Amino acid sequence: MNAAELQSSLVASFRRLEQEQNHRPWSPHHPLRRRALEAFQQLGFPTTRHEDWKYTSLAPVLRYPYRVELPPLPEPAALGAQLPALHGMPPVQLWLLNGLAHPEQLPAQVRFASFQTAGDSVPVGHILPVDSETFVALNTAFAPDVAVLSWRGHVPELCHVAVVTAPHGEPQLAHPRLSITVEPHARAHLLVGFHTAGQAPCLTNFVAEVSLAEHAQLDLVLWQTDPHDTFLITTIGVELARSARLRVWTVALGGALLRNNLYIRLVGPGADAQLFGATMVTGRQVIDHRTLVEHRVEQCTSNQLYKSVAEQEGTVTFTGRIHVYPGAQKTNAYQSHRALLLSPKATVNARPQLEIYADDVRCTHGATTGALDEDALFYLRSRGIPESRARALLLHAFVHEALELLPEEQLRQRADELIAERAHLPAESLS
Amino acid sequence: MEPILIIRNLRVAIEGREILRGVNLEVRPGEVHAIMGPNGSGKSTLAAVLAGREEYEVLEGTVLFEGKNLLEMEPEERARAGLFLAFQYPVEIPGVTMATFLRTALNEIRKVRGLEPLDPVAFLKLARERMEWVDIDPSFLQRSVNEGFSGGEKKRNEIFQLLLLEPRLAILDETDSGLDIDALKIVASGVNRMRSPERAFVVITHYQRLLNYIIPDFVHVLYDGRIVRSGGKELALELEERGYDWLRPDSEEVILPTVDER
Ligand SMILES: Nc1ncnc2c1ncn2[C@@H]1O[C@H](COP(=O)(O)OP(=O)(O)O)[C@@H](O)[C@H]1O
Ligand SMILES: [Mg+2]
Repeated sequence: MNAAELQSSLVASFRRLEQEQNHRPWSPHHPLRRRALEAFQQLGFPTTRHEDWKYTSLAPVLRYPYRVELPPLPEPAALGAQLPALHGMPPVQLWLLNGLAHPEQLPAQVRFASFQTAGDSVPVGHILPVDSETFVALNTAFAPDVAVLSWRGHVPELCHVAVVTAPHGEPQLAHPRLSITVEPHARAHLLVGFHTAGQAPCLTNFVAEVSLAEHAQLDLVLWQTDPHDTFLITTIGVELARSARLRVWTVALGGALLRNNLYIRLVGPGADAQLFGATMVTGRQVIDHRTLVEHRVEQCTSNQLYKSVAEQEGTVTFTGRIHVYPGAQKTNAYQSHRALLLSPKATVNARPQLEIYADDVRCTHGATTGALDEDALFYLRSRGIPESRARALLLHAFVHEALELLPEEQLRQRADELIAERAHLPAESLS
Repeated sequence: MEPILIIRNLRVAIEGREILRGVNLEVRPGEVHAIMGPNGSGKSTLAAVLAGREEYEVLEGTVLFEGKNLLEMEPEERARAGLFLAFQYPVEIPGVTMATFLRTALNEIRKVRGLEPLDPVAFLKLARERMEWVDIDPSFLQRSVNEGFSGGEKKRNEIFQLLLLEPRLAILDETDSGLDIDALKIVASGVNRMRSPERAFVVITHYQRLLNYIIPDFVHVLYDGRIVRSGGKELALELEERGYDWLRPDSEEVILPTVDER
């Protein structure tokens, strides 16, 4: 199969689903779905000729005849035990199984709704226009459900959403979708983990629309540590009102090909967005981060710190765009991508893109790619530490910097362990 | 007693330039040797080659450490065998805490000494005690290695590591430079505390000042890649008075090095 064939097969599936309505809550958004499908037909799948996909070819992803119909679903309870990546993690409070929402014990102040229960009133496309990008359009056309979470008040408890794609013997394309609202002055902690259960090839096309009201705060952790050779594309759009505060940590270690699109819109003065990324690729893994931070109004701040390690034949790409709109005076915007390139066959692509249309702006960006610090390595070895352990310590320290501010102790520790594992550093040496 | 360290006719080049041009030295347990010499004479090069830096090219010569061929050993093997270098310029390592670094190092060294690894609690206790000896606050254990340390703190940190790892032979490369008199005394007292009949020191310094506090048994002058004179502690005072120029190989008073006259 190739991209064009997959495209027509998806269009055919859409027509079939339209008639059969196998997705239960198909109808409320039917006109929107149609618009999205049309957009998908027009846009097609991106190739490396598209500026935004210059470094990441989707060819290896698009060669499978994915099915989009929902396969028989596994029991969430049984899934938990089946997913090794959930070990040592907080309990799951909401499952998105092949895109269908199954709430468990959500914190009391977190309201939950979904297509299945709320139908028409579920917001879709308010942050990410349905016809803007291929994968947003596809998700809008096919998402079997939209899980809506809204926070009111200060909820210190972490909310854990597990996005699971579970194929049933054949390649599966899943369209999980979240809609998140944090109400004025509310504070939310959200963990979204991405997993696959099963052996067939999977493509997970995740979309989340996030809206932060005035003085709202959201800490969002994206947990991408799945050991399977799967494909994951995420597109998250966040809009921040006055004095809202967003922090996102992307822990990207697993999967065959990952692409994260993180689109931030600062639309109220005093809003602040902090994006952190910890990435390690090995084998032939491809991890591609694309960020866009739009400073639409004055006095907003943003900061991006991504740390990446590329080993063997792995590829890391970071494209970070900062867009300062006319009139967005007193903007502070920072961006930094630091990478370690540990093998001659590994690749790091870093592209800062700045578009600044205001004059009273402080904006800096930096991208470095280098090898491990030989002096540091020698210093460690000169105290008796074997070279392999010394390397591991330095690698771990390098990546860990991106997660230093992660407030949840349990997640920070678990991430540390996973990074250490990747760096071949025994866990007991982290004290 | 058998020497801990025997250096014979060591010639070392970097980037095609010969820096050490035939160094000879023997160090026995219990001894303190001072190596003095003007800037650029090759003191740090000697220290780095002994510790195992790979960018130096050994052209000729042998180095025996407790009878073993030191030049064939990896840097970490040298450390585990009991060699320690206090760096002239200690390296900052962001993200690696002192505690992680030194517990890992100490346990590696304990392993070859046939000792059980120290758990975090036992390590902390020992580390705190040794930090007190050189007046370093225990909170430094949670800081990244050397990151943001002042010049003096870095030097005291080197001595702290010496106290913790208890090597057989310690090489101190200009540990005195940039220290005020109080810090100098702290460093010296740390070293003196470690002096023992089993342990030896090679103290590299530019000035005689440190040698008022760490009294050497022997003083050697390294000049342009060779040890051009060796003597007792009085030699340091003479150098203080007369400088190094009179020892220039082309000066009349030159005394060619001989292999250990003791
Ligand atoms: N890594 C290096 N690369 C190039 N030259 C070096 C290097 N290390 C030392 N040298 C040169 O070797 C000579 C001796 O330096 P060094 O051993 O640091 O002297 P000292 O410690 O006695 O001041 C100097 O001329 C110095 O420039
Ligand atoms: Mg020097």
